[in-house]
Amino acid sequence: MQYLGLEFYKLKRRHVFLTVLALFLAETFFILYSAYRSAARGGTAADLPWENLLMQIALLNGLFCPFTLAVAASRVCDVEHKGDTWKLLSCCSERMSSLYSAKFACCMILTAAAQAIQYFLYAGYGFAAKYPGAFPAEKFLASYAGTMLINVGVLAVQEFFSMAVANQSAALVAGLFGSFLGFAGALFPDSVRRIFIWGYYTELAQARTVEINGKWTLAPVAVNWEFLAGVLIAGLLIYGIGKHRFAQKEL
Amino acid sequence: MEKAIATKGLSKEYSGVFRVKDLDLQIRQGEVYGFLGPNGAGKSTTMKMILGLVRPTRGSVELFGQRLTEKSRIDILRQTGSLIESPAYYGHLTGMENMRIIQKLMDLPEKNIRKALSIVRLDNQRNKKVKYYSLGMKQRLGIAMALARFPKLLVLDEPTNGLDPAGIEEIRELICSLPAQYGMTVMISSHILSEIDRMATAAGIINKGELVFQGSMEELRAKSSHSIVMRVRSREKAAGLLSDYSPKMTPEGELAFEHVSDDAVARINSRLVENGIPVFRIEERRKSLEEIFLDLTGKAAAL
Repeated sequence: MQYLGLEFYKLKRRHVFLTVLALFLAETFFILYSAYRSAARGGTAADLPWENLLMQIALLNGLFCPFTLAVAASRVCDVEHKGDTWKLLSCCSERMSSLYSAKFACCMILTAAAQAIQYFLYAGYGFAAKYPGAFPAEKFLASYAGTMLINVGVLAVQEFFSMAVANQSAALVAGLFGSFLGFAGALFPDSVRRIFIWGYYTELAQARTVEINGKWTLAPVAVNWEFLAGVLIAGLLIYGIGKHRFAQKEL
Repeated sequence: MEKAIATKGLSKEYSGVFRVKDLDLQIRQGEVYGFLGPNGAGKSTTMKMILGLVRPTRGSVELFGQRLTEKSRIDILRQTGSLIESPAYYGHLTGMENMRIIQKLMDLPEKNIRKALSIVRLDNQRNKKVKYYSLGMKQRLGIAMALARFPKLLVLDEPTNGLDPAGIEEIRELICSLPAQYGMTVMISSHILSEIDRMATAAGIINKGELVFQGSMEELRAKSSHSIVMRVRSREKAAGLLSDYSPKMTPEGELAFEHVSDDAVARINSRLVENGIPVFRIEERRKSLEEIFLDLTGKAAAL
């Protein structure tokens, strides 16, 4: 906890939370604008606006989350690279493994807080727009929790890059690559998409378009938690490898 | 007296080449130990091994009688402060905020960080962002961070880098005062001999990873053998006349005599005068510490 507090202290004047929030708010704007346009056009999206909203969230999370996580990890890790503080921290009794964990937790907290704000905005918009039907709290919670699980995996990859390579453009390129896979992954066959952890955001759509009697509509799809658990395990594995490698690194 | 640092056969190999080889350092408590060597001799690698930042290929390190291992490292390092290579800092934070990080990491009282900043004369600049500090100020902040817990052992790797002459003098005075004021042992590396000469009570000289000298500064200075140099009119003739004293021709056109007593100098002078060879100058030359250092490290080594 002491190390985690220090990580937040080190971020003073770096505006990391604001940066992360700004990126997520840009995503929120796209999603809500798209939901507004869909509702205005009428049809399925207007009949099932909550489901449509959740589908949009899942789709655009695939685009925005990998890059935003890359930015967060890069900003949090870069403070050490810039001042070459590794030796200083190591000589001040801070274990490198604890530093790795603290940075991971710090990034997770920052993104989880920013995304919580996003989800409140989505719900608030739905209520303000008087979406019909009861608020699907359980589905929203599943979407948020699932996103966090995938974030663990994606962040593990990003932290690995950001801690290992001083030049953060490498980590940001990895983030862009992840965003591409996250967004365009939905177009790939399942067997290909599921190789990459970035492709799992679309698993949280909880609805899919189906054709019934020549009419396109949304059919509910349950979240496959087994897949997500797999992503979490893979993420924790990558995190563990990164942490071990970093702790063993000579300074 | 208990040793502050003792290494045994300390070695580090990188890509099949030993950067540090079989180093047996002995640093007594309360000493200011100057660790000298040309650039690339292995000073920083040695210091990193002493602080557990780099794992030795073989050999061991003991600090205050405790063997440094992966397990014991954190406990042992609580007694040390260090500045390795360049000063480390968070540029977007102020000097005081940087010190606060050290304070929180090491759980230090407020007075320690204020005192450390005042010792390095940064208290007036403490609220300025470190990225706006000069190199010398960053160096002083690095020293303040190392001093913050007023450790038993201070390991400083070229701490005067980037300092102006006044800053160097300040740091020199500070380092010299630490053993008496706070009971600290200081290990300081440098490739500038004169700097160590004015600060250290003991020295170790490393060259190509191997320790070529270790002892007190007096012992180092004692290596400074003297010679008598004479400027005469006919050097070749004089050399033939004094062949029993084995004179050497210097590049400056003089005759040099090693290990000769005062009586011998008088006899040499008399013989030259009696044989009609005018003697213009007789002078004693001592090897400077710089020359001793060059002798020990090989003249080709870059200082």
